[in-house]
Amino acid sequence: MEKKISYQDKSFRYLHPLVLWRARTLLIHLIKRDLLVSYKQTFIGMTWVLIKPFAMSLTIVFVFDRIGQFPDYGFPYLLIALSAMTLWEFFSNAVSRGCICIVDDRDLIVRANFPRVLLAINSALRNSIGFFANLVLVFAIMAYYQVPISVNIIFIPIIFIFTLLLNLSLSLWFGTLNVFFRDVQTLIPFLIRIGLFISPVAFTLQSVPEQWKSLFSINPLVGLIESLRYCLLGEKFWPGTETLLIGVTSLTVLLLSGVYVFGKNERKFADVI
Amino acid sequence: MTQPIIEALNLGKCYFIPPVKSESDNFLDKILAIARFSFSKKQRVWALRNLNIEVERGDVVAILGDNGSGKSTLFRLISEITAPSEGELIIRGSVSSMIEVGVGFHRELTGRENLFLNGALLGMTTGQIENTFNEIVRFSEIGKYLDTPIKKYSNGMHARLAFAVASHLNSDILIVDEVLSVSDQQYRLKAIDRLRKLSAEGVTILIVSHDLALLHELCNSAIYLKNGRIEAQSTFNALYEEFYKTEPKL
Repeated sequence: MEKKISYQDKSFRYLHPLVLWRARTLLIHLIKRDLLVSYKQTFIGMTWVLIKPFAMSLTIVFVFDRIGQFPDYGFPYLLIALSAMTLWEFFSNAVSRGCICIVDDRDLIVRANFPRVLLAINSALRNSIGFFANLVLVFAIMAYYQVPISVNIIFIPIIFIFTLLLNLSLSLWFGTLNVFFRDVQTLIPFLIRIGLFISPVAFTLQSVPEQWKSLFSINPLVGLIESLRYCLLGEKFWPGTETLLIGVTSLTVLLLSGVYVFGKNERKFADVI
Repeated sequence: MTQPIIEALNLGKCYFIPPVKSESDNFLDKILAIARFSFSKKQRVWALRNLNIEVERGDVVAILGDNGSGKSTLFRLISEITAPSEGELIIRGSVSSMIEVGVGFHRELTGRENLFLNGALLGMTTGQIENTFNEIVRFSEIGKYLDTPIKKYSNGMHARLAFAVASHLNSDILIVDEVLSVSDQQYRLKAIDRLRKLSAEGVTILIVSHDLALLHELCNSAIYLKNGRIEAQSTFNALYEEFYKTEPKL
């Protein structure tokens, strides 16, 4: 086994499938660590995962249902908000973790040799338990309102995977940028808050004027959130092929550029962090 | 198979540091500097340069040198934590490194949880860790504290656990950077014993330590670094005679 490390080597070493396959043990242990650490010395532990989006949905329902005006879709508004909130919570948790994923583990970066991309993958996966736990909550509320469950729920894993890819692309981008410019970690919480308003969480795609729909769909979350509503609540929320295609295209651009930016800079992490 | 296990060819690593601000810089100068885009002109500092070394399989090599002479940089290059700025490094085997005690140890996690995380970071699979688990625990002398969060550990226990994990890896090259300094005499002897056993099994070991007695017992060859260059390279005893015997403090 001979390995040559040269100063000229600029290849994307972490993309090697064998390297990633060997690193799975470490990934599992990193996930375990984050799970164990986040709920140690808390009083209600994992329950937070459920309470946060539920409380947020109730707030949205209160604000929009009582104070604002919104069209009637024939479903309780709570369900429309909570289904979007499920995905939003998964996404926003992953991204806010993603932007600090490299900097936060600087101890590992400067002392151990492992595929750095694991940190980004780890943060993309963060809170996936919460995603599924919230789905169960949605089902429970659907049962309460006697909303029939549609067969479309079989597409939920696909939505999950696409959201995961979106999380990963943003983690790669922001994680890398944050190593060089710590401004990013101040900026991201702000951007996430804006994201909540420009994504159809508190409203639906139908409320968007026809001429703006294509522009609006550039945000990959639009396609994802509407698809999840479609899976849970039925045909009424079908986002349309155009929206989905635009969403997938912008997701692909984000992912490829993220992989590139990360790969180009990953060797410098230990030196500048 | 007479090729050296580690070979450095003209290896170099440079860092960029901001220049020292001069006292005379007043506010106006700073504004002018920004206007000229010269405020961030960074200096190039070579932590290591023109390094040519060959380490044979099974050698125990002491890396000697003062603080800032490039010992840790060399270790970081060999363990691929950082990339070289110049030259090449050829490594014919797997590397595991103890750059500092307990890489990835998390205060809130228990000894057991940390053991697995640390093992995984050093490149072990879960199966390998489970196989050597009992041995590691016995060696670390953690005993009843295995399921206690390590924030309650003493420095010594911390170091013992870290050393135990790293010294039970089956890699070809082991890098040890000043990790035995916090242990007590008894554990130190045990660790030396362990390193000697590994070396007998054919593991190549690179050690940095300020504990010359320890190095004297273990190492057969040595490299003396000074300001990022190799000052001398020969057997440990010869270097020891040359650079340390004459100093009155020993």
